[in-house]
Amino acid sequence: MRIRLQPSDSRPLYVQIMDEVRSALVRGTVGPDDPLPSVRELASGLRVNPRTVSQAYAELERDGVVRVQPGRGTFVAPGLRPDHEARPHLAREVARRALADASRNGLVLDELMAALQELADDPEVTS
Amino acid sequence: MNPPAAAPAKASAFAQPPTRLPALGVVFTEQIRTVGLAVRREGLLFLAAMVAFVIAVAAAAMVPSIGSELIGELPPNLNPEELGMLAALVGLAFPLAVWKGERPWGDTTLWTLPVPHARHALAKIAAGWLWLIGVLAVGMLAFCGAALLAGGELGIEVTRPVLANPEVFPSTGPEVVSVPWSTPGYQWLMPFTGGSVMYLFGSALWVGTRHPLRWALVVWLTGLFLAGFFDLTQVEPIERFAEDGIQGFDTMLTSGYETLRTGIRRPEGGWIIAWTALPTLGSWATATVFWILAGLVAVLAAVRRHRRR
Amino acid sequence: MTAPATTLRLPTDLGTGPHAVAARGVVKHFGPIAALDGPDLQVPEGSVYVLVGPNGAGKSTLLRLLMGLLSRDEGTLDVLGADPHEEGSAIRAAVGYVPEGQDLGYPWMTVGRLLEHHRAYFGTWDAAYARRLVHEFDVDLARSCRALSKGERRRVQLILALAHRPPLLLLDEPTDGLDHVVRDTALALLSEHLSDRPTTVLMSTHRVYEVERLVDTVGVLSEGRLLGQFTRAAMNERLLRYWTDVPTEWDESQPVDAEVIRRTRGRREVEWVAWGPREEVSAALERTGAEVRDVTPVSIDDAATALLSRREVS
Repeated sequence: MRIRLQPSDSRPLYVQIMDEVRSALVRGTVGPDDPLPSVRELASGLRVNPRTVSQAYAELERDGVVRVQPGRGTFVAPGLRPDHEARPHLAREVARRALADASRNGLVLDELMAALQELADDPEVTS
Repeated sequence: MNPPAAAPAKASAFAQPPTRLPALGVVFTEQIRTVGLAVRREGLLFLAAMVAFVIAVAAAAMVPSIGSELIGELPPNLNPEELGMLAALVGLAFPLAVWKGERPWGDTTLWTLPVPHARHALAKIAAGWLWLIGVLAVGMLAFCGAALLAGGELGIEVTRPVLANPEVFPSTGPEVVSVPWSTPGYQWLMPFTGGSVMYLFGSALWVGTRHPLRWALVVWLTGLFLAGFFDLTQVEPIERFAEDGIQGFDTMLTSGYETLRTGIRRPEGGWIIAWTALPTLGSWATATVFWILAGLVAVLAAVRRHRRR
Repeated sequence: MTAPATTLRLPTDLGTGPHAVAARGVVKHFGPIAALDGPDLQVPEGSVYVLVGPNGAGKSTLLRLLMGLLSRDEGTLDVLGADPHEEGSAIRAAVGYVPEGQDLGYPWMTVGRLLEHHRAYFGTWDAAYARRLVHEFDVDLARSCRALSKGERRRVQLILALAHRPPLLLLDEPTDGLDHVVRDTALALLSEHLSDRPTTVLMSTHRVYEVERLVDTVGVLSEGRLLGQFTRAAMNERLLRYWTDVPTEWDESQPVDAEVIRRTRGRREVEWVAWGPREEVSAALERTGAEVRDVTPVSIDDAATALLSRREVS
């Protein structure tokens, strides 16, 4: 599982890590019961504070996405169904960012929706 | 009553590890190595110079025509009284080599290490002193070697002209007697003790003052001024004090080679160098103990300035 | 850019601790100049605290005081439960220190010998870890310290600071002189160190963006005073940038009932950086006739720049 952080992203780092884990679940890169990278490994790889990774894992555990087993590591929760949890959550987050972006640019919801629809219908964009 | 067990405890993960400060022996050894590395290049140059000196003297001794040019008419016997001043200069300058790379009044590596500053400075001064003794020993060996190779002996055996009654000199005119003199054993220690005393003062100046060279100049000029001033006052106790001070210092460095001799005009005309008194072990030992203690006090005062900075 | 004339009040209290480093009312003069003018620094245990401020703000002086390299004129200091004035050597045994500047002290030593020198002094020296650091930082032990470049000296200093596994790191501009690759290595190693040992880090820098991802606590120092210190969590919540639309005739001299750090005015829009609960600040801005269009977080770097430039303007 590869986790990337965007320097320009305005979300807090731990939120970005959480969303990346969810995205990996949705894309099927990891599945239920799979181990996630250790806090040490991930923190050092991303050059972030290990506490940030711990916080992300703790929040994911609270949401029932992962299970932290002390001394063993962090695993995707057994029986997790990405379509039920991760997918809707991720969709909401993407939508939230799109809305915020639209609002920042002075666009209203209808304009955003129309543009999305138009782009989605364009075979060159969706391919 | 015991304090309640629920007293707020620090998070265990951050509990202090048992502080492991380096043992004094380790610090001292490490400083010996560090000073050794610091003076390595200069030390090797010095060693080479000394070897070259001995070889030159040996070569000159083998070819008498050149030898007499180079060595002249000097008796090639080695008199340790003449080495005192040289050793003093070496001792005074040696702290510059010992503290190479360190600025005692800046953020120097020495201060960032886990040793109390005053103690650490003392360890470095002591380590430097060992190296100083080594350097002085090499120098002495070279002089001894050169003297022997040039056909001389270690120590002198002469008769010295001594004033019969120096207390009344010069009012009644000099009366000189010849006294046999041979180099006493303690004089071979003089270059080492004299060099060490000067090293202590040099170290105190280097460690204890922000601008050691400036202070050295101040001390020197003040000494000159006071000496002249005391001479001018003609006030007996002050004059005596200054004279005794200078004499004590010289007694420590050369056992009185400079201050015990005086030039006198002979009634029949001309000058001779005569001794007001001959050096004694007692006066040398007293002066040496006094100046070593004074040097140690100066060093302790200097390092104390780094205790709370 | 303008700055409101009111005095700004930012939080400077990080709670009761435990703090790895605590300074109270520390004053240090160099001649007539007060390098430190009474900051109350609090570095919570386990935090990565970055001290930001312009050159001459007193950052290095503070770190040197904590190391027991200088003595303060007033105030109290507590480093790992000890006073650097009294127990400087015990503190130095437990601190990894990267000093200001790249002076390695003994130019005639080889790097290997310099490492041995430090090893003799630190009972907690981890030889295997030191070897790994040497490898990661790509340092040649056989080279003489004299021959090292600025960046190579910084690498050696980082090795010396980390290799004895100290519970507290005091780093003065740790990334100064490092190129991109080495800086990246240094950050990864620092992150690992934080995972491996309970470690508190206090570093000073004026290039926060280089270390921003590691940092969880910020203090802003200016002219020897602490303008504010807060956790990143508090910052994410309360230090925000507000993008507002304003009418053309909007009066910018009117008072705003919020801790505004910086205000940048366009013709019909004003960008604010302010401290406070988002709703309260938004409401205060709306009361002036500005319409809040968007609220975004502020990076530590931006926050520091805003705070420090405000200081200079007012």
